Amino acid sequence: MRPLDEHDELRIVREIHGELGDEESLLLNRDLLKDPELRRVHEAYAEISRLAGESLSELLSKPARLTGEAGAGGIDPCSVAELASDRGDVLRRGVRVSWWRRVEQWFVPLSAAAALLMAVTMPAPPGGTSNTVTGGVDGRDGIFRSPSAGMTLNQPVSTAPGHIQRRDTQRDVIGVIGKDGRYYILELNRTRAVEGQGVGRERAGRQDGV
Amino acid sequence: MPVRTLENAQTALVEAVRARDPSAFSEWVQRNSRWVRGVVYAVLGDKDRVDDVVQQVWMAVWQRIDTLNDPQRWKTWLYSIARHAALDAGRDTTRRRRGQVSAGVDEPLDPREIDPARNLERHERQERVLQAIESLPPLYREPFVLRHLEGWSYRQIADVMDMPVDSVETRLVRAMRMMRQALASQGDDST
Repeated sequence: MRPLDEHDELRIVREIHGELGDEESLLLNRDLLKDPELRRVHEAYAEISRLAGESLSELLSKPARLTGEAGAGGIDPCSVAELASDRGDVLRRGVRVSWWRRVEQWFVPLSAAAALLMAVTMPAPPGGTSNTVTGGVDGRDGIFRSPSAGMTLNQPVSTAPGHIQRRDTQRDVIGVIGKDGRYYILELNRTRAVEGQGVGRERAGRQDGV
Repeated sequence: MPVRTLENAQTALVEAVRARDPSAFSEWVQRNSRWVRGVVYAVLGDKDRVDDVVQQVWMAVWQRIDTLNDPQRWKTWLYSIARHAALDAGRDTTRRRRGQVSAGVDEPLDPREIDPARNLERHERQERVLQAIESLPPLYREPFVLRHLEGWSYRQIADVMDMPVDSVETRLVRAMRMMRQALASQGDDST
């Protein structure tokens, strides 16, 4: 039995990896039959190769625990693309994702507070007697969005005579986290239908729903 | 499908990504996600940080796609971005790992497995193998992971790592030898 050298190991590893030519493979197989030490190393390396492939495959094929819906690689490529294209210097941003998230944590409540302040200080629109969803703040990029702006919800179909008045009684601002993860501000005007010149009895015209 | 056709399809995808097509980017990410994760893992040697770095890699790719001058060479270009992102991330990881003892928090086993004892044994063995891989110097770990994760040929590894095939062979042989020693020192009698 001759001592194992690096050339033998190279032949073994190449054979295991399918990189050895036919002729070289035949020679190696002949040597494996003759040399138990060579055979032992071959078996050990083949086992290592198999285990490594199995372990790496299991580890790196697992879906990642990242934001967005995980794709095959564990991230949502579209969300990466959106994130990357929406904001200036991506490389810097890419490294600073956690930093952005920290900013975002402050940005959302501040945006909500600003919207609340606007809702309180802005005069009510003339004839604003309906429940309307008037806008939303996108917590991610700060753009004021209006997913259903101006849409009248739950508008009562009135059969009342013309002298019934509607009065604004209350305005609520509600923050809601949508299914898409964005933060929406809903402004809700409550109205009350009143008969006569404000002294008559109230009708059941109060609308609270959104 | 022949390798050449697959490569051409990928090059067409790369062209679409260069034209800022998000759906093409999505597909491209999914096709190459595994080996990019492998590169990041090979360079970092820390499975816990792979996901974060991989996300940074894809963001950088989307941003820097204009710098890919030759779409035929997209694999080398992508490898380079993944490798550098992992190197950057690894600088502080290495420091942290030295002073850290493993918390020993293993992921839960798959409940669908019928034989828990056998599953546990397999899980422990995989952990030992991963530890041995992580103990390899990065020089040897990179070709080792690329070869065993994706089954890349020596030529493919040499191309992306920009080195002669002979060097890949030498590194793989030495990596294998080190793996055998590491596993033997862990008491793995199968090797």
